[in-house]
Amino acid sequence: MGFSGSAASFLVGAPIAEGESVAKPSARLHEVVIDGRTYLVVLADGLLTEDALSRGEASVARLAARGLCNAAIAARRGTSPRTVANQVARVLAKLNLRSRHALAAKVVFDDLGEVA
Amino acid sequence: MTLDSDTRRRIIEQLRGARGERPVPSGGHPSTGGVFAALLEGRARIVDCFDDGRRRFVVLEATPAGEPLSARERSVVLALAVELSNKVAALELSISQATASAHVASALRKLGVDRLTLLRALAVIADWLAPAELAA
Repeated sequence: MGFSGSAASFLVGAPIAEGESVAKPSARLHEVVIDGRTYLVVLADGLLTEDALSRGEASVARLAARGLCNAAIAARRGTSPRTVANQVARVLAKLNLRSRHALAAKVVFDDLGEVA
Repeated sequence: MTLDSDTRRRIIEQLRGARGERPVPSGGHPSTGGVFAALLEGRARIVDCFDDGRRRFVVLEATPAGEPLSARERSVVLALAVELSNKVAALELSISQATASAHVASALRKLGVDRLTLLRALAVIADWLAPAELAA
């Protein structure tokens, strides 16, 4: 593909060691070569992307985990706070969590390790 | 464009032992936003985005002759990244929803992805944005 040095360097203008974190605490950048093509793969752990969550619910979950209150999330999404409250409740139920604090903890600290 | 299932399987296989870094409480990284910037500047494109049930893989490829996004296209993509709805994004940018949609469509064309793939990728990549950008 004509990269000089690490293919990852095109992202930040400087070489990145294989597997080095590129900022998101739970994500890393990896270089993978398949059939001569070089791909960069952002690998993220601990996602709130359980298939059970709708896109709206996943979005609300990420925002809630960042510490936004329901009103702020509603303003951002153009919905009512009541809708957001319902979505948060559904997310917590689906993920078997008790509070939005637990949700934030799941996002930040979820590190389940390799599952066979 | 998305990868075929065999290529996906091989990527998952190659990264079997790999993982995201053990989380740290917070704090920026010197290269925060590097991936996002590369996408906006046309230096990279999203080839595919898929999950293996536990981890998400956002597959990127360098695009030496990529087309940078315009200022408006960057704005709407940033709005998507911080989870603004089209309606709110249009209000924030003082443009009509139709105009916002048009900017999104042209941004998607340059990035070479469909909207859902971009949203799924942004869910990972947007967390790399600096707090100031997220507050926008």
